[in-house]
Amino acid sequence: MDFLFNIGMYHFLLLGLFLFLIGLLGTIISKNLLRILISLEIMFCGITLNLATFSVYSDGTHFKGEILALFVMVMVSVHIAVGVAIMLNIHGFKGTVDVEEIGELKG
Amino acid sequence: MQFFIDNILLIFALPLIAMAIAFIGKFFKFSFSKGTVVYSSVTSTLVGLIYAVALYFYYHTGVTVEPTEFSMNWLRLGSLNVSLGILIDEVSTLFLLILMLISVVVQWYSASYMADDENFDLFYFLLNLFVFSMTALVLSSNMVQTYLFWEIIGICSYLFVNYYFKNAKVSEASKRVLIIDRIGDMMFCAGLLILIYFIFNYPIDASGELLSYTALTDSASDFYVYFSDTGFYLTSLLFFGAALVKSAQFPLHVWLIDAMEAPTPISALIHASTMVSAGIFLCIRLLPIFNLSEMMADTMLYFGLATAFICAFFAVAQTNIKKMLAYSTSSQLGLMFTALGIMVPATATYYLLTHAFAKALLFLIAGALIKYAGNGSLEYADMKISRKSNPVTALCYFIAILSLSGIFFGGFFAKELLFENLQITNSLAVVSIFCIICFMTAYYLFKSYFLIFESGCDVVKIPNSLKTTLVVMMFFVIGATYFVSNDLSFGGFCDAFEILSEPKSVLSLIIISVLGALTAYGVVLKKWESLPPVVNGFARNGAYIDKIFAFISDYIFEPIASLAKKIDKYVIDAFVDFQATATKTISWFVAYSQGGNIQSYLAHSVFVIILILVFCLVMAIGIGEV
Amino acid sequence: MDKLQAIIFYIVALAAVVGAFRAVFTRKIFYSVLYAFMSFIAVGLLFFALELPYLGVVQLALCGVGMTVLFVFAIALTGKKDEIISPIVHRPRTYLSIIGLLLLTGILACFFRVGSFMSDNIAQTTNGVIPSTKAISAELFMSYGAPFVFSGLFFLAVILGFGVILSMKIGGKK
Repeated sequence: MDFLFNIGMYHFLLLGLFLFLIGLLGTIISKNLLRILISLEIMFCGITLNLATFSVYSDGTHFKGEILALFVMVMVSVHIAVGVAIMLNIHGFKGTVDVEEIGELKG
Repeated sequence: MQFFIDNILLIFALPLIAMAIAFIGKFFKFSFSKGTVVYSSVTSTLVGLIYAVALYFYYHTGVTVEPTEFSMNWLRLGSLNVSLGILIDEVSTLFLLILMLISVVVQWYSASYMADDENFDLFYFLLNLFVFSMTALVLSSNMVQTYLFWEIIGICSYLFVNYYFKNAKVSEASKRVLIIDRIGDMMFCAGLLILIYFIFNYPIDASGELLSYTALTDSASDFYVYFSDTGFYLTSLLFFGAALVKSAQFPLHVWLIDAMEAPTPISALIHASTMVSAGIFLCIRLLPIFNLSEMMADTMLYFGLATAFICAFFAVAQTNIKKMLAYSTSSQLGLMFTALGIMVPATATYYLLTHAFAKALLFLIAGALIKYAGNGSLEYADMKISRKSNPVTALCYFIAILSLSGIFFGGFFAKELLFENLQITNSLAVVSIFCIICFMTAYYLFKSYFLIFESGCDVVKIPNSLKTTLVVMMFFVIGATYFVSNDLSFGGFCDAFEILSEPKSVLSLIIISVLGALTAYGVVLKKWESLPPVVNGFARNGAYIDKIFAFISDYIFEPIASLAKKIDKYVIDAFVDFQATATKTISWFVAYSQGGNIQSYLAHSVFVIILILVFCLVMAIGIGEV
Repeated sequence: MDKLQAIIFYIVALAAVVGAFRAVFTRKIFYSVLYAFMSFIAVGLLFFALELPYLGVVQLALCGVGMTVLFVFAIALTGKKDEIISPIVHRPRTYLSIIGLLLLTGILACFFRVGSFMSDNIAQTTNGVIPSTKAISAELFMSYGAPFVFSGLFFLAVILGFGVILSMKIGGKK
């Protein structure tokens, strides 16, 4: 009960972990390229959450962790934007966004 | 004098340069003329000769001079310390002198003898290779180096015997030569390995140097203490076996008969004087070891005497000049081993010196006879030459025979020394066998002289170019008389007479040899009865020892070899192939995980990362720092 | 009050997780985008709970609104294809992955429970700076000026490039 009701670092970290894992799951099992990107974004959210948690629950005198999380978030957005652009181009080439149909790698 | 010792490496480098000159035509477009090849070769050997003479007189002045040694560390394995180096002392300078003198004459001789041969460059290439390796052998400072160059001269011998390789018989003969030579090498190697084993297990202060000759004298007794008597005898027997094979002693003398397929100048150089003396060289170097075992001395004595007797017996019945000379070489080498067996290395070395010159001269004359008088045939009966038409050649032959049969010149003094030393053993059997051997030697040598030169036809003349070399060699034979003394120092002719202490033995030896000569005269010219035909045939075919060896190799070694071949094909190859197919099968399975689907790659890598994390956590729990 | 905080936290956390889950496991891609939007907003709210207002705002604006708009336009440009997730192709992988991930989180949770992080409070009684917007801006421009500028420029370039590619897409229809 104590653990359940006193929200501490663990809770946030666990949540971040869950988000990360669900995002990972999504990247592995999705067939649509856009869904893969969405899952990637969910992963990054979880990571940012972890980072922010660590910045709050360690040394409280400064907020360097928060600034790092800021940079990370910006980078993540850029990343996803580039991914979307690539996806749009692939759609232009192949006509489809289905991962199985655009893949050319042979086993 | 110090100049010669400091620059000793020059005589190693010069034959290599001559080798390169002789063979460079094969690799590049231009090639040197025959004259260049010959001159470079002869020059390098002449320089070597100057060195040899200078060093000989430095070390043989009657005052004991310290041997000089240069060594370079080659291998260090635990307590074993193998070095490559040069050891110059009395023994090696004498062998070097013999080698260089005979090489010069043979190279000069073969310039005109082999002039119309197509593989002229190969001939001089191999000659210089042989001179180089023999130089390195006689100047070697430890046993491993000797073994290395021992093998090289064996290979040179094979290559020379195989010189006329287009002839099938010659190829067969060279194969036999090589195989028997390898048996000797194997025995040498076995002996070396036993000594190395001893060095590894018995590390005393200088035991790493045990393989070098300078340390051998001091440490020989350590060998004896370590091995039991039988073990020591067997080890020395291995080395003696190697010397046996290289010097063509019974029962492995058959390779020398097969080696007569080589060109005759090579027989003069290798199979008469130089390579076969490598066996004697080894035994002299290892005498500190052999000295410790009574049985070893007796073994050397008996083997030597047996070979000398049997080979002289074979030589008596030969009608082929080169075979006669080959058996004669085996026989005389047997006498040298006898001398070593009674522990008089000085006598053995002097005998070697005189024999080398005389036998080389005989071979050179035989070459001239084969080429010009016999038209390629080696039988006495086909030699169309006589004393009247070629007095110089006949004189050379006669002097060589005088020396070799022990009537006059150097050979007489050598035989006399040996005879006197044999009498010290006080064994009637030994002395009487020696007398019979002397008789037979004189008999077959003079028989060959009478059959060749007194046969009455006088058609051909030996060309002058060859005759010059023969005369030079003859002077060496005569000059060899000067080298006599009890400890091989440079004595004069008058010294020779001083050392002969017993007129009785002198007289008996001369009588025996002259008797042999007279018997030969009678058999050939007066048509006396010779040996009965059965004995004659038996001896001429070398007691059919060749057939025995052929039987052994066909019925004993061949099944073993084919069994080994089957094992190699069905067991070892199958194992190697199994490894390849196993790899292929495993990779076929693993390849299924590479499906080309990137998401599955991601899943696999995540799985592995999770495994690593769990592993780290478990380790952290174990250490206690969660 | 703690209990209320805890309950609010749980609700928001649940929203985040459920949103993420539904985003992955729904057939229509547009619904996936919407569920993801829900998850992002929840995470943004959580940032506010962590007393990181700046970061929360950025999350809401950038990840929440910006990403969603991006994805919606992407869908518009590529056509809404319905997707069949679970059945024939990926089922074993799907279920195994879910089970594996749940197991892993259980294991990790148990391990972390053994430790000493039992009850730390959310509101950190700091003895220093409160990360207000002003303070963060000051920090950004003074201490972290260089990375800020460079990343800003880079972001600008990417946005422009995105626009260019998009315009080519609309205009050329490759």
